[in-house]
Amino acid sequence: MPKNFKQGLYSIIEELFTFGKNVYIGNYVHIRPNVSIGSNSEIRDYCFIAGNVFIGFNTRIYQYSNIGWGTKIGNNCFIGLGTCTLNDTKIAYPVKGNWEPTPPTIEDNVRIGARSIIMPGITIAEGTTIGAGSIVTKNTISGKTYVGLPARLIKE
Amino acid sequence: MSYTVEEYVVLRPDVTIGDGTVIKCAAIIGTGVTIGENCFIAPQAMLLHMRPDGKSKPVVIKDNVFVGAGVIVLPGVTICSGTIIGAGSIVNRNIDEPGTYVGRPCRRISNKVYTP
Repeated sequence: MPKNFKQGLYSIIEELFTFGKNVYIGNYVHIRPNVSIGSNSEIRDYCFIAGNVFIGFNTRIYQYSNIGWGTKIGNNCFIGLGTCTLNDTKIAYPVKGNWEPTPPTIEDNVRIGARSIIMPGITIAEGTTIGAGSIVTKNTISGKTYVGLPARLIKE
Repeated sequence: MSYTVEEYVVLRPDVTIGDGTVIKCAAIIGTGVTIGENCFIAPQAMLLHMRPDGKSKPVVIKDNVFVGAGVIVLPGVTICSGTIIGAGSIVNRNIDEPGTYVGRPCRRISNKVYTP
């Protein structure tokens, strides 16, 4: 086990994980296989993290968030309460043929408000702020603020 | 065939779910809600049943309906078969025509129909 690793009650962490130092996992968290989490990161209660997810250091993921398969999250990020990241552009289910998910990428120093949804294949550039309840449907420009359904630029 | 329900889903009593339906993680399905066959309920969707005045009017979802991530379907709403509801929408009226609906409250944006 890594140093200073804190795991809450009833949380499930499946195999093949790589965690840094001082990682905090809250209660009732479910982490699927092949997840790596950097040092000093926190994952709060009731989060669900699917397989092949990469999370950088100093990142905080708040309660009830759903991180989809293959999402990459950078360093020093703030992921608000109930945020959801999706990874499949084909809406027909079950998918015919090969399943080719296109997970989103969240770069460094991004702040995402509560209950926002990140659509598949989106890159959220460094330093972006996303308001609460937004649905991000396009790539963002670094350092700007986006709000709404669909998320629009509000600050120049 | 049978239906699939993922992690953290809240399933209240008397819920009816058809064959081939998929309910993804952290969806909330209220008491007495009916979901048809081959539907897809994306993460964090809410299908509600209780009005603010205390009367129970569950949501009815017909066959082949796609409910996007974070959608809120208000109590008493019926959604017809073949409808797609985009992510983050709020459905406050019955949907009688198949097509794609997005927005708060949701509006029809195209004729694209969900065919699983």
